[in-house]
Amino acid sequence: MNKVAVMTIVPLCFWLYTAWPFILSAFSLWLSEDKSAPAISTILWGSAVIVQIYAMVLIFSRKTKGLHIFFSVMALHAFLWLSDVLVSYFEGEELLLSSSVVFDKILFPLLVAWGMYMSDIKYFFNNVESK
Amino acid sequence: MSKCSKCDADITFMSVLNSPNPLRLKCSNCKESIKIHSVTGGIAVAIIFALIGIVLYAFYGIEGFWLKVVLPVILVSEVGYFLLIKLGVVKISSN
Repeated sequence: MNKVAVMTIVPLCFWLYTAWPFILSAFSLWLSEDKSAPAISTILWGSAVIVQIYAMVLIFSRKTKGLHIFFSVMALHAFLWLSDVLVSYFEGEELLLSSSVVFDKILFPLLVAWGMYMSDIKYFFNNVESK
Repeated sequence: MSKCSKCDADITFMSVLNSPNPLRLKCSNCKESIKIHSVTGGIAVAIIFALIGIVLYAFYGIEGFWLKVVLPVILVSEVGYFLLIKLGVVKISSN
């Protein structure tokens, strides 16, 4: 069951927090007139996709190092997004912190991290002592 | 009834919360695997999942659905399942 949980949660997070934003930024690069901002965004998300694929290979080899890399990328995503929101707010724009956004960017990643590091799912990894 | 068969420690809420499989918990004291009786546990899990489905369907689409509906429903379900184990309604399988 731990294996099923890992095999479900990790690809889901990869899709929601890295692959989907990469696809969106690639589309905006393709469609927009001014290519500079979408190009930077696509490069960033592309790097994140490569790093997370490497992390997933480690995770599926039952190495906790992969988990650290995977969640570092997710945390970076949430951190950059929150910084962007706060900077926009201090520049006089509206604060974009609805309950669904708080769930998506803060609570869900924290819950997933708790599940992978603290719950019984952690026994999936080789260096965690299990019975 | 709701005790670990190896170390006799009480089953805690955290053992229920930590387990990805509701029919197989892990003792928070000795880490021994605890099997839940498949019939009583299976029925309880089926009923809880059905109730979760009904509540989620009823509230689907409201503002803040995940934060205001999904999270509380999951938490209440975990507490309910823990209480069913604690009260002996859901039994521990004797190994």
